[in-house]
Amino acid sequence: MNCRQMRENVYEYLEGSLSRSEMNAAENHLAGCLACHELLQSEKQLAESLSNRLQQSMQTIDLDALSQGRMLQALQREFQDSQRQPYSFSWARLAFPFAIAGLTLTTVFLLGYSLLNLSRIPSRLEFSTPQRETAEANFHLSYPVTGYTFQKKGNLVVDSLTIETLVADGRVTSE
Amino acid sequence: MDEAELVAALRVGDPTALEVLVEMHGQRLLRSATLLCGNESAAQDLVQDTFVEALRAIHRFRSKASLYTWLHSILLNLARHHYRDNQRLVFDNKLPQHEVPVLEPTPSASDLQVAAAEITAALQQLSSAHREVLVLRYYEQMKIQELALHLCVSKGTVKSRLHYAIREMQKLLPPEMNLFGPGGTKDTV
Repeated sequence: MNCRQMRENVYEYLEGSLSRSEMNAAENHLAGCLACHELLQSEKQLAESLSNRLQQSMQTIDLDALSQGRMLQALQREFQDSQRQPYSFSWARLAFPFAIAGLTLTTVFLLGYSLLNLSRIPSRLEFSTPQRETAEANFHLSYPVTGYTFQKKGNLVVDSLTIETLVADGRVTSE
Repeated sequence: MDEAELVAALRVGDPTALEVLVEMHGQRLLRSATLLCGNESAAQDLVQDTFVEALRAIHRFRSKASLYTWLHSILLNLARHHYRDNQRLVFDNKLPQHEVPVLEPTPSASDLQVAAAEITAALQQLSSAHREVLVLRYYEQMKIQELALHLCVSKGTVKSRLHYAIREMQKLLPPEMNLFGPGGTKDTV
């Protein structure tokens, strides 16, 4: 044990809380370290002095008969109240926790349900599946095609942007 | 009536158990409460409230610690509420100034009262955390491990608070009180 460890454990040494091996290590260190020995003596003296002083200072504080009687009256009132309303388990105590649990489960359920029902794909590609069991699908495809037209007007060439929507319908079947 | 019998009697509603409870632990709790809150009248109220709370919660008492330790933990919580409700700043020049007697081996009652006033006044100038460790260590004689459990802090925190509290008490108490050694106050740690 070194000086730092001795300083850290001085309280435990004085109160006898150290393990046997720690106590031996402390004793060996104290035998060879004057500074730690003086620290220990100082702390011991302080503990005794402060304890004695606190004990002495409280000698004049007594629980007199009047105060004792007052306390007993308060306790007897409390006693009688508890007899009239004995402690008993009530299901109402669980109302709030159950309400919170129910609300949480409902929220989780609604979130899960809305995530499972995905919104429609915002594109012009539409599939309609026939009710028959054959693997067949109709498709209706529309897509914009951009183009430029050029016109000569005098010495100038004027270009114009055109957008034409093309539509294709068809059917695909599985083989 | 031993402690186990007392607890059993309180649980079943035996009225004589109340008298035994107050008689067994009232005085010690009162003295501890006086050191914690600095005022005997407030301490009596705290002790009364402690007993009432203990009676309400007696069904929750487990025999892991002694009944007194359990009562003291209730007292400590109530004392903390008391500090918060009654916080006030005390300036040095408002503290009573009177000659502090050097206590002889058998001091008189008046000397004890003066010394008690000085010590409780000095304790009240510490923070509640530092006051608690001093009272629990040097008045209630709790060990470091017990202190740590009682206050729900680490052992390192307990030691750090003790170290600081002792230094502060050295500054606050007059040298005549001969608290920390035969030569009066000195820097010991």
